[in-house]
Amino acid sequence: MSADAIVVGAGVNGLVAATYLAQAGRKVVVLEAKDRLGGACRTASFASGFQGPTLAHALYALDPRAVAELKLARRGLKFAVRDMPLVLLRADGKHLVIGRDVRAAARAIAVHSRADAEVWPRFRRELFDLARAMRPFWWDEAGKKMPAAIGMLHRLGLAAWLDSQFESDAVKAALAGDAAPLSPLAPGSSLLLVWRAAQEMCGLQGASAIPLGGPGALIDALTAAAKIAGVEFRTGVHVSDILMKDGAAAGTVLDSGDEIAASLVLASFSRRQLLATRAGRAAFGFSQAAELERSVPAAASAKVLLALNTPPAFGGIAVPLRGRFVLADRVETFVTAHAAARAGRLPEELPMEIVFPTVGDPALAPLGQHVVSIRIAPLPRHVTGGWDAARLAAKAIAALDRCASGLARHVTAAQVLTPDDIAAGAEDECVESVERMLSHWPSRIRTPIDGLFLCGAASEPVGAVSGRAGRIAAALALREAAR
Amino acid sequence: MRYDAAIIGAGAEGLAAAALLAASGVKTIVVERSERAGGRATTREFHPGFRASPFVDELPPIPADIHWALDLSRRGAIFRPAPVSSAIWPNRQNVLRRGDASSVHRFLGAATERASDIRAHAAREIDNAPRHSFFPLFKAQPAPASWPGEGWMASSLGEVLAREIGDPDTAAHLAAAALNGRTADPLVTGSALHLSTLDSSGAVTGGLGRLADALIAAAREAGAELFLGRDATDIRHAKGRVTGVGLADGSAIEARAVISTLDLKRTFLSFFQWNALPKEIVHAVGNFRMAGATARVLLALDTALSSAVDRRGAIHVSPDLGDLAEANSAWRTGTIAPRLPMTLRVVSAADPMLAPSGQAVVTVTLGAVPYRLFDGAWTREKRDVLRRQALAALEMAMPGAGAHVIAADVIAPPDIEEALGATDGDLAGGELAADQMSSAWPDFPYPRCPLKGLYLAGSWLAMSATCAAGAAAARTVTADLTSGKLK
Amino acid sequence: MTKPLVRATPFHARTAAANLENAWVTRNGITLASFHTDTNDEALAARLRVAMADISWRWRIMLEGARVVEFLSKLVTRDVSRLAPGTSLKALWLADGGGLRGAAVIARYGRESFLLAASAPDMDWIALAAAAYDVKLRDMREEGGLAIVGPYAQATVNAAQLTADLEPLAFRKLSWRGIDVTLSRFGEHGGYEIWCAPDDGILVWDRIARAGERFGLMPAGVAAMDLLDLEAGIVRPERDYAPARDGNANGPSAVALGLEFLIDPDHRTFNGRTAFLAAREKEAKRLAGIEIDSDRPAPFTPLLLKGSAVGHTLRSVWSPALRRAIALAQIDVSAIAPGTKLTLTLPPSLAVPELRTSEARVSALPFLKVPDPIVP
Repeated sequence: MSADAIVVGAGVNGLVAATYLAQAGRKVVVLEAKDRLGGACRTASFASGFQGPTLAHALYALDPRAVAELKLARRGLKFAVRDMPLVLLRADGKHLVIGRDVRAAARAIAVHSRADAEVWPRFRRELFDLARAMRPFWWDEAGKKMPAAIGMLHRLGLAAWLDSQFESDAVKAALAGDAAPLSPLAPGSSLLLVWRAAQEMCGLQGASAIPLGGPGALIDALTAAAKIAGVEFRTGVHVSDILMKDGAAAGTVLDSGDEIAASLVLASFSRRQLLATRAGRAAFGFSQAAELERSVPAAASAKVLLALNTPPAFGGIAVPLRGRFVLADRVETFVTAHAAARAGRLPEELPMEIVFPTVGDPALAPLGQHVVSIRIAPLPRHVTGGWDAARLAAKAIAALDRCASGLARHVTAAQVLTPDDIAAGAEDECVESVERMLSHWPSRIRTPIDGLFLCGAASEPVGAVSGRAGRIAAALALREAAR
Repeated sequence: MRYDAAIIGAGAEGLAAAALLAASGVKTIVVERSERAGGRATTREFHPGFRASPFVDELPPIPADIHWALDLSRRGAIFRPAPVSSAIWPNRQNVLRRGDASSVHRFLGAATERASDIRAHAAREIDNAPRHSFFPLFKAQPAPASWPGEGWMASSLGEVLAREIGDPDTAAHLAAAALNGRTADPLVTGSALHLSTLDSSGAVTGGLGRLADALIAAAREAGAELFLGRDATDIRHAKGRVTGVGLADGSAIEARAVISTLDLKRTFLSFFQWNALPKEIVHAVGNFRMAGATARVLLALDTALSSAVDRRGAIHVSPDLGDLAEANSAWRTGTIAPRLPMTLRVVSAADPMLAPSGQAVVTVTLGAVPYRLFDGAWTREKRDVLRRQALAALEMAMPGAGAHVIAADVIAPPDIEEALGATDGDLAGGELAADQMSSAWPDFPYPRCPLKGLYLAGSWLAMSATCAAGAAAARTVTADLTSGKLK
Repeated sequence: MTKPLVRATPFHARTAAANLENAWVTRNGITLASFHTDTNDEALAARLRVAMADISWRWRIMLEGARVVEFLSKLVTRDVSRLAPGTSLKALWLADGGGLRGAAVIARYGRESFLLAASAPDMDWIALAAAAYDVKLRDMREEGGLAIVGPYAQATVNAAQLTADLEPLAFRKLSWRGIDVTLSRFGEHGGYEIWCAPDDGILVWDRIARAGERFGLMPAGVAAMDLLDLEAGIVRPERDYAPARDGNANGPSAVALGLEFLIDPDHRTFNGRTAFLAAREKEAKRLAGIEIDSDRPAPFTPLLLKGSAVGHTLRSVWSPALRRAIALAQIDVSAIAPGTKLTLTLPPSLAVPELRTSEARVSALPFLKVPDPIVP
């Protein structure tokens, strides 16, 4: 069979790319190895009567242009929670809620430090200003310039930056939670905060949001948009190699041996995954290939879904359940967790991000009951003796129980995805680095093979559910094809 | 008395600055708390008949042009780079000879070159103001130029060594050599910057004290005055500019320029009233991170040793990247790790004058030793922990040597602080981190600072090159005096 | 302390006996005679009669595996897939950035086995690259190799009863009166090479020496062979240029070393191709010969045209055949026409401790053509 363009991988980026290509008049076929579409975006049943976000649970980096131009709202994308406040949970009950309202946040911070409360408005304003100034670089393919302050932050570790601005552990820990992919000691990890602040969800800068129906609903809307544009889907189909002709991509070869011809191929691979194909191995230089083989993600993540038969109740300061919860006492928790991840050890304190999707979307669970979604990161990819899912879940529940006393008793079911489970799905293959964050789009999307473009999460500046890589890769591919 | 330049601290930086300033005709005086000049470039008798340099055995390389300008060789300071460096584990060794194994040789050459590029870049920054804004957060400025240290800033020590070296033993050996008494997690991004310190000038025949003597001679012969045994207590300033240095006995030295060779924190915290300083200085000093992590154990042995390892160079004991990471973790929490990074040097093997005939001096450099212990002060028990680890290291490298130890002198971080005025006992004068490698004040590249007439020349600024900070300060002061900036 | 080793070749007993001045040199870690009696005599013997040189120092590895052709297609700058067993070609390999890493003869032994024979080793790079293709590497340096060079080389080989109708670049395994040898014609000087097992070295040497005696065969040391190379315009890594050792290096340029002819731009898959093609337009220097109006060689010296620098010499020797000093040089395209007059400064030496300038003339390469074989 043949098409004008093949998109490999039906995650958010693949679906976005395919729809843009189809809207430009190309005949597009999407090839997905799994039996379902969506990649990391999935809402699934994990216990009788309970549904939860399998992997990604709160979106913060969705591309506003793709959302608008693909008319996703019209295709059914609605949001259960917009603008989730950041909540730092502490064992001593002095939780910190940092919402959009700067004054309210300052009042909350004042409980921990008056000085920090005074710094907060200025810090927040300057962070958001800098983040907006970085948007041309991060949002547009053509963006080349960055503000000078990035030069300083490029060298600065997040821990050092936060220490220089704030004095209270609470504020620093809350903000450090957002920069989980890199160690707070790594130079340039400060930029992760800027990256997050540069995003826009539901028209709000730096917001996080949960779709109604979970991340799966995003996929449904994207699939609908794609189908209306004429995109064809084939699931259960694994691509083993890129078909080559005269030194350029000419389609894909499937595991079955079948070939699909197309002059444009957009793949949701990372460069390392491309190296695993014969065509990729031949195309990369030896030195480049060796470097790609050496680059392995430093940290992995795990996901826990809990079924709760009562609403969660936190002691101490009142917290909004529609928030995004971070469980950590100090920045050092993240430093230690990163060190443990690299050493292949489970950290004493698990760094967790927790979300209660049922608060805005009660349909996910039976009446009065709730879903708890926990993302644990960073974790080592492997631990000695192998991953014990039950032990991991127990540890996570115990940590949460320390802040919401009695929660453990109300857990009626649990689903755990260990780093092994997540790797089996070939998600999370991205190596986060500052270089990647500050490189240009074409350098992440183009490959040494003419006609082959990388459109997946590995082509984003930071791995996140976004769709921007798909949009920009499609535009770049169309332009190159026109030449 | 009125001088053009007053220098606080007669260590290598202060003496070099004095010699160069005086040679350009600048009326210069150096004030030093101790009765003896030299700072860490000193050799002391720690046990009757046994001598060693208490703080360091070797210094970072002295740039060639400064070496010649100060005529150090003819003044008696002859450097001997170690011909060999070893690492030893219970069941094996790894030996690196200078000029040996080609890929290691190439790597070391490339690392030395990059370190030199970083220094040159920093030197250029002295003439062109750097373009980073630290406080406030966002200020429109032209984009920063690319920095030679960026590659290392983006990598971890472990990554770079795995890539360039391959052999895990050699990699661990070089990681230990790069850290050299400091502490870092070799697996965290940015730790590769420690590779900029792999090079050293080598040992000085007769001990580091000979270097101090050569520098003192250079300074005196150039016409600088040395005021020893005088404690500087404050730096006088009025109307936003520095006017001189106050001494403990109540007297004062008037000077148009004051050079401080102490670290950033000590300079501003001990010589000024906090509330009299500009906000930007207060902020920068408060945020500056120290990373004091070195302790030393000096051992006197009543026998000349034979050993399983080549005694002519450094002997790194059981280097292991995982241990280095764990030691760093422990250090961060104020505890002493069970396996501290340790390096032995049989200093009397290369320099027989340090010990009586037929006997030996071994120095042990321990890294990841916290200045502040989480459970209290540096008691004798705590020092014994260090002593025991050092002796265990000695026994591993030279079986049987432990029985011949007749004296062991422990020098913990607070002792280093006390002796050298180094905050937190940090011999490097500050954490080796990318953001601390350029000036804290965008409009005042080092050696300048927001206070007019005050110049900073601590060793931490030299980017691992001895005498370079002093030389840079001397150059800048001379230029400012000539151009009339310091009326 | 480890004892210093003399790493000798299978012919060491014979070369040692012939090495009257005890003049030894090390190449690729192997001890070889620099000259036996006199470099110029030996070089002239190779040019006028026949000479025998110990070439066991050359780096040789066998590459074997089901995907070896795929691997070599990526490694080297020419297509080897159509090479018939028993034949060879010469090619280069480049770093990712287009910089020249090495040059070798690639000889096909079988469908899935090739020999790579080069002057300088590059094991790390090739082993790293080969691992991804499951290609096994076997070090062949134990074998001894002798080069037989000169107009009477063919006659010598015939007289030794090494019968083989070998085309240039071909090779064949033979059983030669009881010993197994490989006879090849890889070399650039129109002669032959014999490769044998280490234990057979002395026997092979003696047979060839006897066969060539009446043609005036002499053993030639490394210096004489280097001289021959220079007269022929042949550059080798580590002797004439520093090959790239950084995986991303963009230099040295194959174009500037006169080796572009060993790159097939239509061979689409070789490593560093994109970078090489991009850089080749901009390369302004080419390789040429320089004849110096002097007896004193002038290596690594700037060349001036009307006072401005247009290039520099590389290796330089006194040529006994041309009776003057010659040099290989890298010269700007604008000044490279044969006959162009340049000046250079002759470096001072122990004998002549002063600077002198000299005239020099650009010469096309090779300085001297390989002489035709004489078969009586």
